[in-house]
Amino acid sequence: MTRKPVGAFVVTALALLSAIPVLAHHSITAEFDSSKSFSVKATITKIEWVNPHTYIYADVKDENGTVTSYSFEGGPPGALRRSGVLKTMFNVGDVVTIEAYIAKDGSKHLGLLHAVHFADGHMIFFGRPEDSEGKN
Amino acid sequence: MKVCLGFCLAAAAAVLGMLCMASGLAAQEGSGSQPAKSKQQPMPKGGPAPRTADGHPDFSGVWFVGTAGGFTYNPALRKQFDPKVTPEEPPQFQPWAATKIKSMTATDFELGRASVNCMPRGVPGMFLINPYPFQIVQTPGLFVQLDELNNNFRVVHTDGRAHSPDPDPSFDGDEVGHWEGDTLVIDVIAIDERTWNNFTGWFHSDQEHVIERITRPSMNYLNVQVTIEDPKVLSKPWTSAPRVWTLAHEDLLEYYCTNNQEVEEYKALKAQESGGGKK
Repeated sequence: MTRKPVGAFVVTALALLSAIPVLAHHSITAEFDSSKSFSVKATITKIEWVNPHTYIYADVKDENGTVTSYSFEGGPPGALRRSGVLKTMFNVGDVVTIEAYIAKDGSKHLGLLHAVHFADGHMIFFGRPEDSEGKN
Repeated sequence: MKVCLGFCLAAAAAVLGMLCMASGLAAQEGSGSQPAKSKQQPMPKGGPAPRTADGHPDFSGVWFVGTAGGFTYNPALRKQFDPKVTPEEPPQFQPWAATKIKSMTATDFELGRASVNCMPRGVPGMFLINPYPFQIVQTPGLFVQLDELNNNFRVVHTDGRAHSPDPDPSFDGDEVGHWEGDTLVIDVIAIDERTWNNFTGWFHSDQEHVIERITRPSMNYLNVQVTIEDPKVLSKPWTSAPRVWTLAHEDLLEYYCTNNQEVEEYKALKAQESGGGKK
């Protein structure tokens, strides 16, 4: 036995506990507000290219040098691949500007990926057409 | 917080889709940008449907929802039927069933939503509420459907055999097929009662009987029309409009629903709703 599973359980439990009042507060509405977006310059720290949804994690440093970790959610890997977005387009350590839609619950460090802009000027778009059918 | 809600993504969708489309077009004009892949034209008919050695239409191939024949951001190409051309009546419920559905809250709808609870779509959901592609592998006497969604599969004998006399309930049910001309008719009974036929409370009973009528009117097009009889829940049988899929020349990928944490969240929310009197 190690202490790691216990720690993981505690983290999971805390996450769930924090999520429940959030959902209740919003009476089951969308997690993200597609009408409001934000943009941050960030350094990619972790890439999760997994079903059912991908995540890109990134650190944002403010003018005082304080670092804040953000989570950005994307579509499923298959849909992204079909739309031309591949895991290999991103690397830990990349300094990018991320456009994302805000979380409706007020989570300031969470976003729904819209686009990732790279320093050389190219950008990658995210989209989930299967979601737009409203029936998945 | 790592919560992803299928319904919320749907809510963001139309706008996102349009934004992505617009961005994609802009990207093509920019320098060094990454245009999104998105098919923009409906597939042509593509000539007559192929046939298997026994002379029946061969449905084999990878099929995408709508008319694009693959991935598209274009919502018009993802539509499976035009209600102005082939109208589809809403299901007519028995009074008790209508009352039950009317009493459901938005939380109940989310708890019953397969993209939240990660239950299999099953039959007939795999044709009615499944935006992911599937592959059909057909041989004389056998229809095999491989679904990208949750790597589900179904195997249907098409030799006209009878149903099992004592089937156990299952998500895809006890299913047997036979040909009526160029239409494959799959008859399904003994469907697990936990599935819904839509995302707004259309539950079903152990008496549900589903008839799927599958045709391939041309090389690139597949039509599926679903009839649902369920005398305990419906006041009359319901028949869908013919739903359209189109042929894609690419392989299936893997998609698994693993949003199981959401179920616990919604259950907790439901407990709050019913126990605490909170609003």
